[in-house]
Amino acid sequence: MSRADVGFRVAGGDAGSMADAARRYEIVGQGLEEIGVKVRGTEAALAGAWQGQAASSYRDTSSKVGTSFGAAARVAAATSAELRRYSAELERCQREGIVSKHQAERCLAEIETQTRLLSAAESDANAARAELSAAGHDGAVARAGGSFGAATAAAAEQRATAARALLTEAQNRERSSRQRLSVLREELAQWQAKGRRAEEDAHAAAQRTACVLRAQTVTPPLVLAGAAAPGWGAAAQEQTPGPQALFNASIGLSARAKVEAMVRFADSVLGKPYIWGGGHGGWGPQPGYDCSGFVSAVLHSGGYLSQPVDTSALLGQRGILAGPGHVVTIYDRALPIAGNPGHVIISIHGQFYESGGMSGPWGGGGGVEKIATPSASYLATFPNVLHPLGL
Amino acid sequence: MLLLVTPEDVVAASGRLTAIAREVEELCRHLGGCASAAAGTPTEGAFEDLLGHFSAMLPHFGLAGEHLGAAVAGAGRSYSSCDDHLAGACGLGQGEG
Repeated sequence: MSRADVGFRVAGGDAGSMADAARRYEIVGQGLEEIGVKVRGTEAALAGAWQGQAASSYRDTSSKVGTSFGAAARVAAATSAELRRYSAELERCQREGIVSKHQAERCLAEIETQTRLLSAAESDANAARAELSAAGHDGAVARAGGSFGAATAAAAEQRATAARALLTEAQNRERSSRQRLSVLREELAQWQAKGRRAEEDAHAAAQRTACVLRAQTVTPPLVLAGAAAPGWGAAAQEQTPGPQALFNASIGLSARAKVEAMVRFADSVLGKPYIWGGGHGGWGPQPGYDCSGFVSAVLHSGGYLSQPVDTSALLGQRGILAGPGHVVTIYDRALPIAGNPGHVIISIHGQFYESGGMSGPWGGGGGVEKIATPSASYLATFPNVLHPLGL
Repeated sequence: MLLLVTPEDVVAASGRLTAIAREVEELCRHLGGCASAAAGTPTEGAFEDLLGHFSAMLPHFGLAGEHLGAAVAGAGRSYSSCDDHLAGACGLGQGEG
């Protein structure tokens, strides 16, 4: 039966799956918390064994990492609690909705039956009234005939008696059906109100949960940034996840997650020097980037590009489309134009990034950096305005 | 030991830190199992977005452990080597200092 039939809809979704998701987030929260404790425990275990500048730097970093794990654990726990609350509310609303729908359907079916019975009773009553009228008329005519019409008058009286009985019986049925219909309509209205309330409650719960979920943010730890103490050595060069790791993590993700991965990567390499050809050797950590190496790595972090490409090859790469994007736009100049050499810059959420290029009032001209929004005339020197698919 | 460092402790700590990446990966996989939990509800978009956010961010936590472990391992090796050199220079065996 459709919504139009019963006047409301049972809330959709699987409360059981939602409860399972809540359990999963709870486990993730506990896991992150335990790891955070482990990181802090390592710091404590080394407290007596390791001293000096490196130890101090390590303690500072591990403390921050432990704190990040703890914060992420709290986000997972809050998400779990919200999902559990929503699951319970959804289950209650669905249970009430199903019962209300079942009862409303029963009322509607019985109303249909009673309406038919009432119609039949009304029809029978009308027929009885017609018979009563006809018998009355025949009796009057017969009585006017004096003794000659006595038998006919008696027969007419019998017909009238029978018609009166039929009329009474039909009127009783009519009254009974009307009373039952009145009760049923009231009952239907109550079940419909209950069903609508369950539908509204489920909707309100969903809105609240969506709002809570949207507010959750996890901030990963920035590891080893600035760590230059003895012993940190080569590992310290790899301060942040490379674009390959982010690419792997970005596959199949939502647009928002892709953009976050791209921003995360771009921010992580800020300050790296401009090196001609930098970033074109692969997706691993680089000592520096040229313009297209940097933009390639940013795009790869979001799940785009299978290999670094230069300014002349960006257009035509799978997943890279012509025109500005909603969130991410690439300004690409493959050949020198009006004294400007080939260059490429990228804007994410309105924040421009580049490596190299010419300096202007917007900044730029150095290594990997954030720059202010360039002038329209400068942007016009980039003939290819591109965007990643879906962004 | 000659330095104010116990290299073995540092290396052991590095092992525990390096294991974090695997543990986080496991958590990430566990979370991935509920991708369609909100299907058919108005929370679907927000749920998927948050799951995507977690899936994108959790690997960074794993890498944090990996990098921290690698850095500590580097420190352990470095100190161990220094200790050996010092021990050699002083003509002492390990554990005699």
